[in-house]
Amino acid sequence: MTGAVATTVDEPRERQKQLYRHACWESRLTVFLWLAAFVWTLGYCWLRGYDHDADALLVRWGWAVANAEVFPLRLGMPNWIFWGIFVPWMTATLLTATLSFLLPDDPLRE
Amino acid sequence: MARTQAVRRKQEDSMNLELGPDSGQVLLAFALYLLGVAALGIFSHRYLKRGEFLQEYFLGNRELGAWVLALSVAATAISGGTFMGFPALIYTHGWVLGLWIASYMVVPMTTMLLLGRRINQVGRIAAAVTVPDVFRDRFQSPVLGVLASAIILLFLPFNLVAQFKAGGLVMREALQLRPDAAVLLGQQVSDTNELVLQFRLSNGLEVSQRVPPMSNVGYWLPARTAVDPQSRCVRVYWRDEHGEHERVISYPAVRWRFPGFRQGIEAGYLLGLVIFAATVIGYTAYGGFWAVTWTDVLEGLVMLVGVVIMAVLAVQAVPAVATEVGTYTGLAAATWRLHALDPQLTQAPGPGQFLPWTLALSFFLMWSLMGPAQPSTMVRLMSFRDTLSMRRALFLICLYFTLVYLSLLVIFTCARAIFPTEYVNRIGSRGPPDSIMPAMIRHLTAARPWLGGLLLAAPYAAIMSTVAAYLLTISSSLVRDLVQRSLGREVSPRLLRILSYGTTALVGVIVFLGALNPPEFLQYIIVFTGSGLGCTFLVPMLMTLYWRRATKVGVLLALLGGFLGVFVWYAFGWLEGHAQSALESFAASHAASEAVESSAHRPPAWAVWVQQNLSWLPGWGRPRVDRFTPLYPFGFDPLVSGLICSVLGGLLGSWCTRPDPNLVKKYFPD
Repeated sequence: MTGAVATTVDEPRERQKQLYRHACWESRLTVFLWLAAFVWTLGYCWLRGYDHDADALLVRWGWAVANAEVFPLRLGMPNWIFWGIFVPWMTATLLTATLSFLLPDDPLRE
Repeated sequence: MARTQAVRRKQEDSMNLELGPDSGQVLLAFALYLLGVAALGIFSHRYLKRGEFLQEYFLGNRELGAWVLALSVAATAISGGTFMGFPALIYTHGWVLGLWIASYMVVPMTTMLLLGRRINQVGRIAAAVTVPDVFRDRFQSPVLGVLASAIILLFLPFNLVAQFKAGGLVMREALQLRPDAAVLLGQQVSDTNELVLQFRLSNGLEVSQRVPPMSNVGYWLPARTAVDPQSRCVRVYWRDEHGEHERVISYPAVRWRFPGFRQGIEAGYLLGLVIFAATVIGYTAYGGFWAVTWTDVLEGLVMLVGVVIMAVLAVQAVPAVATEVGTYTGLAAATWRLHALDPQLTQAPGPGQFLPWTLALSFFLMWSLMGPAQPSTMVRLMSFRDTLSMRRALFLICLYFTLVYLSLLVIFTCARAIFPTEYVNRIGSRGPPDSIMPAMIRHLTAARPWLGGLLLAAPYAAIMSTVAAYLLTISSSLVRDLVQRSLGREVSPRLLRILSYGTTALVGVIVFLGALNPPEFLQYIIVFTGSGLGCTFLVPMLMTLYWRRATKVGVLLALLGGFLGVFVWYAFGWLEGHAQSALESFAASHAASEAVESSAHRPPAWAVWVQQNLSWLPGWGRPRVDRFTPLYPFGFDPLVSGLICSVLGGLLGSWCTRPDPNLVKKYFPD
């Protein structure tokens, strides 16, 4: 009898715990994906969308370019915009859309 | 001539108003849209009779479904700046704006996933109706609630004035009133090589139009100036090493006399403002949260359809380019033309060093972190019905932002290829760059003015949805946080209703009066309030929701740190701007009266003190676009310092004090 009562009392608490854990997991995932987008977009655009000194180490290693990489155009966009913004944007959209189907549901009303 | 004859004149003798050629169809499309908005407002009012009034009026009783949540969050985030300022920036600076706006790729995640599920949970545990409610209940601290409300009330009215101005400007474009039947009184060339045309309007007011020089070298030919009363324009001429250039200047707009306004108020703007204010204040005050969110759905759809149609038309409208490697068409032709015009238009940092990497980084933080931290967005996250609605809204928002922002980027890159110089910062221009959006709409829909009306409704919808959300945020702060909870008095339900309707309407009317004489610097006000509110609330809200070690002192310091970390750089920016202009005007007046004894002319003491004692501040003395712009410490936007101060304040305050174990147990179920 006592056990049954305890279960009834604890159920909402359990659901709240579950909701809290899911929320924490989502926030950590968001921070990770935000960081990935930050590094990809700003990193690529800085290396390939800005001009750099021809003698700079990054240019000599082939990571950066002396003159911004405009040609060849891709889908009508400058090359650096395509790889530095359009491709990560599409990737992020695809990931977000996929996540929207995979994330768990929790009851909100008690 | 045929065009002149086709002009449909609808003259009101006393007001001297004539509508433009295609205004009829444009206004009809606009009227249909406004009718839809009004109908939704009236329909929403019925919902207010269901349950507890404040929960319904300010929060929709936590019943938002996926579509309403998604379009409401999206439409609130997209404001007048998105449809007026952003296009002007793309047109002026080219493809680098792709980098400027790039962080919108993660905004759906930072908006819905970073805070969504948890703020909804905490909001329900606390039975919170507003964002200050969340802070107040989570830490049992009225001080936190009042401070959060005060900061909202400090920032949002600034933003609302700017949004009202944008609303008036869009409606003015839809009306397209003919210029006044004025008389040219005279002309002169100023010290800054501007041609100043002096007019007398038909109601007797005297106004001047300043025409900037058309290039760095050359001079005006005032003797060649010709007046064309039939078309209500003046032809002026400029000579430089390439020969003579003509420019057509329209007569001034019709202005109405008003007490307190020496130059009167422009009729088209005032009419536009009245229509805008009456609609948006009316449906927000009458229908509350449900009216705001349902009209957001209509407005969000209008925006989406508008920009997608425009993007298709714009790509088709770019003339093809034949090169050695083949023929470019569509967007490729536009990019090629931009590169030929100025290679900086196709690369970073853009013309005039527009986006150095420090600012690129600042703007990445700005859009991805400041948007979700706006109180109007957080309130929507507190009000979704279930997590299924949240997931579906996440899907819809990510498609929505992708379509809208990439379309805008394409449209206005094409606009620069179609009008290479016409709207570039006034030089040889037909208009300032902010008018590129309506100009592009008119160009693309010349054969279908009704479509132009529908497309013009898109920026209007963006402004309306933002204004409605902010109006409700302000009135909820006043009614719920300050009157109901802070004064500690029992307020009858009837009085609460009257207060809620009345406060929303009153705030709208006050902002309308402010917008009669609005500031020039629209975009900077929007950035100031957005980053100010974002830095004030982001870190404190994350601490409140996720950190069980957070204390009320820590959250208080985080709120203050975020607020001050942004505000001081704007304050120093204004101070520097005013000191600079005071010293410059002293220098000009001193040079003009050299014969007078020098002892009678001293520069203003405060300006000298400011320049001597504050010049060590980082960013001081750098060239500034506008006197409303802040100082940029070490090249970064003030939001970076705001976030750093907020984090440090939060950590320091929380580590130095202890959290209340009962509150931790209540809000952290595990």
